[in-house]
Amino acid sequence: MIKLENITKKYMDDSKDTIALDGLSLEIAEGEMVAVLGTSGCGKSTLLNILGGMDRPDSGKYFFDNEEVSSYRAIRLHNFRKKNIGFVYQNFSLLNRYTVYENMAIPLLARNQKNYRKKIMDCLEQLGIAEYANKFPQKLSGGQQQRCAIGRALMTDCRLMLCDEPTGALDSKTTIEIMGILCEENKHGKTIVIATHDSDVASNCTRLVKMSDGRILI
Amino acid sequence: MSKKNIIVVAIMDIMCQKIHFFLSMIIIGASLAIIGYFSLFSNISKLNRDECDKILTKGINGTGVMQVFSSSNSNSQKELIQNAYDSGIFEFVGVWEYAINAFPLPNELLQTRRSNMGYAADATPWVYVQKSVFGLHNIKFSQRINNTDENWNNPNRFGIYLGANYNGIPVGTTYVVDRYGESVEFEVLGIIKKGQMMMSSDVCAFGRADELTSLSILDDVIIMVYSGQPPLWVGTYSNGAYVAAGGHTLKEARDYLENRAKELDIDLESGYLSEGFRAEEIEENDLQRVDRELSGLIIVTCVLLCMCIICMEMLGNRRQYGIYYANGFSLKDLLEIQICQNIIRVLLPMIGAWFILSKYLEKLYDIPIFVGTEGSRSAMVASKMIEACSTYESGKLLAFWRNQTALPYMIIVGIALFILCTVIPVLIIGGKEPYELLKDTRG
Repeated sequence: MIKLENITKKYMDDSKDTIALDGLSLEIAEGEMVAVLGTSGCGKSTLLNILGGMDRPDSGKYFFDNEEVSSYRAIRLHNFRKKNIGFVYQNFSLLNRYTVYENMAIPLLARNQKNYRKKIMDCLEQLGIAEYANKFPQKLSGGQQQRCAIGRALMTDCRLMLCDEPTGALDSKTTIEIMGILCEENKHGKTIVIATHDSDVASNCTRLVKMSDGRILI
Repeated sequence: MSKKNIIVVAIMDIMCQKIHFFLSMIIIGASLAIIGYFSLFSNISKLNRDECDKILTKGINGTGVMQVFSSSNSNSQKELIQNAYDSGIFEFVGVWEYAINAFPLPNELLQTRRSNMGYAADATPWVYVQKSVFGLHNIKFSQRINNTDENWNNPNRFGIYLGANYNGIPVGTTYVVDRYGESVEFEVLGIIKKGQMMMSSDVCAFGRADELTSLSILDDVIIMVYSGQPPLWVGTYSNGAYVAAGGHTLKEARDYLENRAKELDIDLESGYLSEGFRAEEIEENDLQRVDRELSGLIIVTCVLLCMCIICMEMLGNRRQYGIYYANGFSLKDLLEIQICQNIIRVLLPMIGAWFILSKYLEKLYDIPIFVGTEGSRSAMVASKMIEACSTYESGKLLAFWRNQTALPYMIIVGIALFILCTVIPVLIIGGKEPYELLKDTRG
């Protein structure tokens, strides 16, 4: 499903180049649940951004279903993102000015889906936060916010879910609950890539990829 | 993304930033209203000139003006005017002036005027004219008695022409009024067609051509035709206008008049009407410059303020746009949302400003200021507006304001605002990779 070949990505920080990804190559099969483990700044988020089409590699090739995504122009990249990718972030990336329901509706509006109320409510029910549908995210606990973020990613019917430190801001009990939800989704066939520095989280995954200084160790 | 969903997201977005959004709407609305307001003043002299030009037989450039001052020898003045007529160089030497209290009005006419004009009726003047003024101003009549020669020979019998609002009075009606113990008769010789205008005598008085009250609508006016053997009537500060005749130029007519006045030792000022308007334009220039600069300042301030508000809003919300990207929105979607929001942001205030200003102008017309009243122009904007409104037919001034001043100014500024406020923020957002908008998620 995913094939990365010799991906390099540099950022300019304080007038010096920082190498985020240094000739990284990786393959991920459909239905895998991959944990990308590494310390802060090792390039995990950059890898997820490139996988999700939110950023482009400086060099190297990125194939998704044998199509070279790294050569896509903006509109095609947007369509790729819209069709295949769901994001979950450590800080939840919910819009605090919108209610939980409205946050869940955003990807559905972008995809012109009709009659989405039932779909959203079913999902919120499944995630156990249906009663908070009309509440604003800042009124919810971290775990509830992350459930909402996962729900929003699920709304996209994506094939690849990219989770950047999904449990980083959560306590251990909530972490177990969130990982349970993600494992459940993986069992239903969704490919999931989780960037984390928590080995307990990584142990829930079917495959472990260790990263350091923009390279894969294992 | 469908148009419906674009509108849904745009409205959701507006509702989430109500204060910023409505603040920018108020700024845009107020700015457009001020621009629309000033646009009238910047162009009022143009309207003045155009309207005067329209009613004159030979236009402003083809009309000469004269002012004869009283002298010890009134015969020489009569001789001057008679000579001018006899020369064949002149035509339409019209003499007119307002004579508010010079003659007692018939009570019946006073009552009709009051019912026509309400409490402003007392301000209505008689306009005391020589018959040829009708020709000079192309004044048309809905009814008229053709043979009025008998009126000219009787000093106690006057011919009067009534404005269109007196059309219930039959032509030929005669009123008798006591004046200094003598009976004076006023015979209605005609009813003037609706909407006819006559230039104020003040325009012809040199140095006073800057009056905004240069045109009078004659609908409520009573014109008394000069009694006495035409064309000779010379009084104190009599004003008149002339056009060249017999293939002569206006300059030849003016030269003849000045030379003859010199020979007869008459205190006379003559010139071209266009000079008066030029003087008006020069005098107006300063005021217009201030209007333009002020309008320009307001436009620039308005654009900058709105730009700042919208750009700050977009930059402050860049994480939000990053989230939109991550959830399937494209740059095109964001542009369309911004267009949708700015249509509301600019169009509604524009309509609001338009509506309020229109109502304001219409309300001003309700102020019962006499149509065609004289009075010096005040530098005060409000006074100027009131004067302007009092000068012209309300519909005409409103139409001028709507079609020639406010509409183009407000639309141009509105479109500029719309484009700038739509394109620039989207360029700011579009110039970044989606991940940059979500930087705080980078590990």
